[in-house]
Amino acid sequence: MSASGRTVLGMRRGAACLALVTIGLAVPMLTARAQWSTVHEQFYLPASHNWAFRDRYPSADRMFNAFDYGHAILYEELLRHPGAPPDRLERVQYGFITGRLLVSPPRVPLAEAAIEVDYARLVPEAKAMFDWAHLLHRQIYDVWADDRIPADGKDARVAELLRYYKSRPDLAFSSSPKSMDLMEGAQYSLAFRRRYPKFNGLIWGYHWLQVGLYDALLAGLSPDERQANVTAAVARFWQMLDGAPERMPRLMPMTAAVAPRFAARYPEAAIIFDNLHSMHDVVSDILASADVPPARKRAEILLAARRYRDDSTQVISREEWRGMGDMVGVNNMGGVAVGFLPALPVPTVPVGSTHAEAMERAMSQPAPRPESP
Amino acid sequence: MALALILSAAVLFATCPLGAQTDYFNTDRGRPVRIEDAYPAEWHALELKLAPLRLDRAPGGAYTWGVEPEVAFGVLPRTQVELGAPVSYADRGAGLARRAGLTGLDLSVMHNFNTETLTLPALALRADVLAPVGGLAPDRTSGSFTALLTRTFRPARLHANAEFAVGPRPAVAGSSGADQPEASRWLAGIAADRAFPLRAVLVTLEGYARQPVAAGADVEWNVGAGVRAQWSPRVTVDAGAGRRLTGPAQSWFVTFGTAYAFSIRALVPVPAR
Repeated sequence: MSASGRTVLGMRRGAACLALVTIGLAVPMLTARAQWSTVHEQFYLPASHNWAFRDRYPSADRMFNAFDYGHAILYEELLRHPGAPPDRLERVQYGFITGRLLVSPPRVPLAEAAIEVDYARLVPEAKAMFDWAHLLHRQIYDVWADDRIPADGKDARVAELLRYYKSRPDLAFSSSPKSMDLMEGAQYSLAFRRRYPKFNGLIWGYHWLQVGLYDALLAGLSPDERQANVTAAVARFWQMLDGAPERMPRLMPMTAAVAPRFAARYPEAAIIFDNLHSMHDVVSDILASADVPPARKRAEILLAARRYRDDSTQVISREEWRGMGDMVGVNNMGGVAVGFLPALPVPTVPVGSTHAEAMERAMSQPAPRPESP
Repeated sequence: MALALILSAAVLFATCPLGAQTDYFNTDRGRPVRIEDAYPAEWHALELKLAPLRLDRAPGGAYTWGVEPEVAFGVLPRTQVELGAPVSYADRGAGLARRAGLTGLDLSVMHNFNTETLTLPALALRADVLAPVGGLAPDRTSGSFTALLTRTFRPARLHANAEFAVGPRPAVAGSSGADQPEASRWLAGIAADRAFPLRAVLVTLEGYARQPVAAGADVEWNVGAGVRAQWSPRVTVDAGAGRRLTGPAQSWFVTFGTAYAFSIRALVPVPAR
């Protein structure tokens, strides 16, 4: 065969390989149960306060990048290794996160789809809901970290951010408070916290700091005070990790209890974050539960997502929502985030408890007084 | 010289105010390799691709520099429009005149049909129009359609692109299309990339075949590799290199680029209540 003939043959073989690879990538389209998702990303609201928190509180901001890894690797591990020994999360991943990642967190927000590869493809809709709410989280920090914005101006900015957030009804968590029964009363509920108490405590520690930092910012009357409050809240988070899971929150931290200033000033945002954090726990339970077979996990997560977006499923009043923290005890949620005592608060319920159990316990014995400085 | 330019650009960006998203994971055409993923810019996002450089070195030492500043805008959900102004400078070797100029005005629209799920890859379609603007531009308007596909596997993501020119074959300024080294009648290729999320770095490899626009040219086979990194929340940097394996001009090429992601408040509607 001539040189040019070999070249042509080589090209044809190359083209055939290319066509086969392309067909291989596309073949799943031909399967009967294809999942068509059109969920899409949207840019954050451009404003002068963008990235102010990153600029002024870089250490705390970088911790949130590490928190994103914790959520992402948790879902991926639960999905990919459903029957694996708890050590995979409780020792290996927990050790990596607390011993290395949180100590030296990533400098930029993470591409979570590169960590939770299977989870992101199982439920891109739920992932997008979390991403959208996390953007709201970060942007409210920015408003309160930007010292150029006066206090009344901050309220207007937060109101605008909330309107922008709610402009995506396909992604936005409801701003109506939901009963804890939605999180703890399903067939799959508690599967995660009972099997992985340390990692569950770590996630609740994240959520404690995420809402607690709002009060740290709101309570500070000057930039120096805000810096001191943020530093103290981050130190408190580290204190919780020492001796896990005993010293970690024993119930999901609720914003009205941990960050009462923020919840009083921005109740809608506080409720959205409580619904976000509840949904995080629900996804963990669905993925961890053997009662939900793999083929049902996507449907259950999407059902839960709908319930946390709507304004009708298991809605409670704002008064009931505000009172929940007092009822079950803020000490069981890691304590308040501003003005706390050096020692961690003493919880009243054992690790792995539910809000319902904490309520029963509270009604049968007088609750200890919340700590005060 | 290329190294000097790369270093200069790196230093320039090191002194810029840093400020946003994880764009390093969403690859763009030529940034750093030719084959891209099936995801457009986010809704309301503007991506300014600043000074994306490409240097081709043909056998015999002829160099072609290309700079294609572009701006992409997420105009609708899953849809971006992009405007590029490619500029080329060709040093064609001893005895031949140097040529420099705008090689056209490139307007494209890309629409993503779906987000990838466990059963479906992400699919997108892009339409490109190259207007005859500039001294090195083709003599008439040309267009192309590109189908894009992205599928993620645990070790890596795979992207497949297939591009077809439409309309009459344009006559290209310069000899053999050297001023537009990437102009094609058709192009098909695959890229694989792997992210290192804690470092915000993406490493990618590609292979593609294309039929150059110049009359009588053989199909060319190309390989390339590149790195894309998130420099700051708003700035992405990328660098790549590759080689044309077949054809009369089996050249090497290197690329370097930066992208800045932002948005404009007036373009983002917020409900009144």
